[in-house]
Amino acid sequence: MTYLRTFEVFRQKAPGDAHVHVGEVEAPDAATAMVLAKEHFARREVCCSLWVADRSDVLASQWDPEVFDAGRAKAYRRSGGLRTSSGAPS
Amino acid sequence: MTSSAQLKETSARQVEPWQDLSDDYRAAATRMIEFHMMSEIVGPVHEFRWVPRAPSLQAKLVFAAKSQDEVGHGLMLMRVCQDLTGKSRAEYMEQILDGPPRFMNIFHYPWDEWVDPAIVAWLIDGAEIERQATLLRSSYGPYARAMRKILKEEGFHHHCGRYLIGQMMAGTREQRAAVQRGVDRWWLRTLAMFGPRDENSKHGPKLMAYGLKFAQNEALRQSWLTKFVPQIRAVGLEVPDDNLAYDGETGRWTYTEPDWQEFSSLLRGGSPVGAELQRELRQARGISAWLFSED
Ligand SMILES: [Fe+2]
Ligand SMILES: [Fe+2]
Repeated sequence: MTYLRTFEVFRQKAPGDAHVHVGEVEAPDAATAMVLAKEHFARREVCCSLWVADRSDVLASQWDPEVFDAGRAKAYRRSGGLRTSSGAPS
Repeated sequence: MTSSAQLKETSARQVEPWQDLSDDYRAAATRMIEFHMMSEIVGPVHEFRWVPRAPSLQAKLVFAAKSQDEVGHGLMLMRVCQDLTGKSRAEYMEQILDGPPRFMNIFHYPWDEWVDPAIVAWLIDGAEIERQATLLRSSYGPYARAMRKILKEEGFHHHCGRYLIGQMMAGTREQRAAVQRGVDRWWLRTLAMFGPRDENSKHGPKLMAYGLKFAQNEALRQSWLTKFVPQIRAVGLEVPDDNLAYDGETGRWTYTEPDWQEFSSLLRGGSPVGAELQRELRQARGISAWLFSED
């Protein structure tokens, strides 16, 4: 069964929600993966839409989690402390 | 060798398969999850045998749904194992069909009477919930995530079992007697299912140190007793243990010990019943082999 590929499955619970990763299925192609994903992840759970994506198409970041902390040090990107022209806190 | 500082580091947060994990951590996680996976795949053979024999349409539907759920749990855990070990699904299927019987003790006993699958759904899926709820925090991220879906479905299994038992208890005297015989048969096996106390458990302490599991076997058994002894008595059944007692001061149950020798011999050496389950899966796999052939 070397022809099986791994597909990541994303489920949207209700219109307007984001598609959230819920797991994987193995299938020979995307169409089959979709059928399996429906059976496996939408048989019981609330769902209105599914995505499947071949795992080999996913680029995962290789940075340490600490790298993302840098964004939080940029206080000037937040509005807290900025004053409006009337002097009242925004 | 992993130092205790490293162990702590590993259990401090959840890790993912693509991270740099020590061989020792990977091996411990693999052992634990493969055992769970094989149990979920081999066990439902008992259940789907009962689909054609179940006494009502509703009971048939329940057991068809339950066995589909269980196989789904197995498949999801197989994916988790594949990312840990790099083995293919075909290799895992081979391991499950022809390898040593590494699965839960309860599947090594026959389920010959209609009460057997119902008792298992009620008491043992209930016991699984107790255990799996603590695994939602497991340090291995993909396992903890899989547990969310699995746990929800085990809740359904437990309630179905409870419902079916309730139906039988509201039935004839023969039905009630059959349920009591079932509880008598399954009581010690269920207590044993949690595994030996941690001081006698070979892998337990390491799994705890790695944060792969969080609750000791005995603690889980105790909280199961607290929940299920009243449940069993409430439907008019007796707990088949004269030594069972609750100490209000320590908050602990004393009980007759299961046969731990039998437990470990089943886990190590298997049983004719277990071998039969593997054989039946092998047969089913053989019948559908043409589906998977590449030419
Ligand atoms: Fe299960
Ligand atoms: Fe279950």
